[in-house]
Amino acid sequence: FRNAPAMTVRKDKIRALAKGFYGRRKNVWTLQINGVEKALQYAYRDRRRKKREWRKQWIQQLGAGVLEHGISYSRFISHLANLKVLLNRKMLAELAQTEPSSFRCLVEMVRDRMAEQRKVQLQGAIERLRQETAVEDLRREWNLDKDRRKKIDIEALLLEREREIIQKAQKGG
Amino acid sequence: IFFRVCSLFVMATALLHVEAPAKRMSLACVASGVLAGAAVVMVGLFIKDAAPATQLFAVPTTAAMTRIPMATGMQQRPSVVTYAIPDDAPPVDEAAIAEEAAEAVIEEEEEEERVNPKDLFDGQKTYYPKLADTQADKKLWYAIDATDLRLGRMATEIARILRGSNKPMYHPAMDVGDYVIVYNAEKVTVSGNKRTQKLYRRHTTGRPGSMKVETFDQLQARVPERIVEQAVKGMLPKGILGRQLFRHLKVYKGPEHPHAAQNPIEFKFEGKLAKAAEPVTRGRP
Repeated sequence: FRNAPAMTVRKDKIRALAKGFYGRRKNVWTLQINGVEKALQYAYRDRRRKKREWRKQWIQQLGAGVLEHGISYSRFISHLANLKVLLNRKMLAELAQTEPSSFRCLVEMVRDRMAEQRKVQLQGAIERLRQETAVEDLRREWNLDKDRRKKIDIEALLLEREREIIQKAQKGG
Repeated sequence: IFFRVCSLFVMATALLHVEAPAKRMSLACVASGVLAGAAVVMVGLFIKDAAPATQLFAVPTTAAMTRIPMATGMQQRPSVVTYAIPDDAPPVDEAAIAEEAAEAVIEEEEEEERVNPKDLFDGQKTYYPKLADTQADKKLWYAIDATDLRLGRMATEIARILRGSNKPMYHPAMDVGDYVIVYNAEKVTVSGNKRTQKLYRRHTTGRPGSMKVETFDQLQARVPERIVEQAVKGMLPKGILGRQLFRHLKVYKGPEHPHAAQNPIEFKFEGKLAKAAEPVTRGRP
């Protein structure tokens, strides 16, 4: 028993969705239904994928725009986050395309921050170097162990030396 | 505050629509110009806990901020954008604006044109490159001297330029790349023992048994352009667009090329790309 009116309504809906398909897939019911079912599944999946694809594109565009100014995308984004700039990748990519001066401002902000960081790193490195050279000098001066793997506590050594000097003075006195 | 801005804008557009048609275009231009100018300032406002807008450093205002020209379609985009204003922004003088609105002559019309919300958000769409942006007159020409450049490292950069990956306007489905001329192709180098060990295979008749194999130096002696071409072709996308991009690569043996009329820009492998130009130290040169 065939309920023709209800079935044609249902089939017409699916036929309409099969427009533009290749060959018999647009005309023939059995192929139409296959194609349309798959198409709807893809549509469901790709509504979620679309968000990812856009973000990918913005990142690629941003990476290109930022590389022109000599910074990498990763550094740019991390410093921007530290500077509490809340612009999202979509807007940043848009700025890179249409507002080169504003984008350049952001790049320079990041560059300033990178320079500050480098200064702090250098200061730390200098401090460490200073301490190491001080330890080396002390080793040479006091003819300490040749075993360089032993860590030397300068303050403890100084205290020991002071104690020795005091004891000698007490004994002498 | 967002609603305040929106309502102001709606009021402004309502005023514009209501006044005489002759005045409409000029006022619209002025309003959009003001908004476009304000957009740059509003970017500064967006930045929280940072230096105030007056401390934005001086940006060099040369004509060409970047080498890459702006897309044609972009200059015609309407600059209708709205941004959220943070709470510590200077207050809007609503009284003065209300006064001006009251003074304006409002003719009663039968129908009020409603502002289509899509117009307000048109500026939020990411730009899609138009056909005009893919035309040859928009493309730059680059010339690369392949003397003592490492084959693969040079080829990746060529592929990037051909594809347009170095442009903020990049789109994977559109041809937004540039032309590349490679000359002195016979002087390209490879590291290690590749010169005598890298094989190039081809099937001449399509039947089994008719495979021809050549080493790198044999092919370089015979058809040196093919080495660079094959290297770049392998790095481009495979498909109609990839084939089209490959046609934008022009490889020549020797220092001469017939594209002087295109004023090619000499592309140097410096800075981050300096590795491509490093001399080969290992292996038989």
